[in-house]
Amino acid sequence: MLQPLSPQPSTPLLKQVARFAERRQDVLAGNIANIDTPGYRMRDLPTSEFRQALARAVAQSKSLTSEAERLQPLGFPGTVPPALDDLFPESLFQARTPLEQPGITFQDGNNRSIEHQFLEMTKNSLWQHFVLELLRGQYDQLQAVIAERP
Amino acid sequence: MFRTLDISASGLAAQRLRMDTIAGNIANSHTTQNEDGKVEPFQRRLVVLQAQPDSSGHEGQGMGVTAEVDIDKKTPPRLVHAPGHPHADANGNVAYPNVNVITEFVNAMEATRAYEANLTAMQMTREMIEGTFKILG
Repeated sequence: MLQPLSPQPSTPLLKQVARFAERRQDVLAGNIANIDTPGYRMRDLPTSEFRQALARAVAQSKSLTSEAERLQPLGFPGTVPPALDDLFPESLFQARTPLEQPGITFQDGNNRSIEHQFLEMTKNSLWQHFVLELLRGQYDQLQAVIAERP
Repeated sequence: MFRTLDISASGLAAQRLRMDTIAGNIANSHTTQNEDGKVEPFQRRLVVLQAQPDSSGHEGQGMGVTAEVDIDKKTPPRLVHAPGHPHADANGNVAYPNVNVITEFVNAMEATRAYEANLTAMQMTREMIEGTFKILG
């Protein structure tokens, strides 16, 4: 509903980041729940691939914005949202067992590393917090425009 | 997002079940007859953990854990020479349960820490959910 009203071209990208962080929390919580399960291998989402997709999306959004401004000097830049479904395929949000992992495999076949899991969880949580603050700022801005007062 | 809490909750439940069985093992570490009054040493219980994929069939998401109680039938009972014991056999030996209290305590420590880890994960998920709600103002 708010897509055409996106206050900034970055809003849809921030939404993708928030979605990714949410999914990753799910996977990391599963790793902690299975910390004693024999044979369980720690899983994760493809973070570096996601970052690459994000960088591509930012570049595309920039080029689209400048083009829109050139064609329509008074146009609202946010009205040209990049096609995000191609840039963020569902496979980016699927957990996998990374080939290279920190820690050692224990006798029960589990490669638990609770420090690593909590480090990643903390980073993920801070990242999500940061993105949500940015989104909140953008919606506050939109709210201010609608209400015609800051 | 709320499903993440369910995953951590499954971890909490599994570790609590482990603590339950450990407490039972320690409580029965000298039990020499079964619940029917027959002479049979208590057999140590242990918890078998298994990763549980999402019930909705979403492959590639976080996994919960399921726990089941099993009986340790492989470890032999501890034989103690005590001819005066009413449950002693013909050689004067009493079969005590196959419970090693030190092993139980080590497992109890592990279960406690894993329980705490799940609690911390839950706390962090909670903070993330609260952050999401704040967007709405």
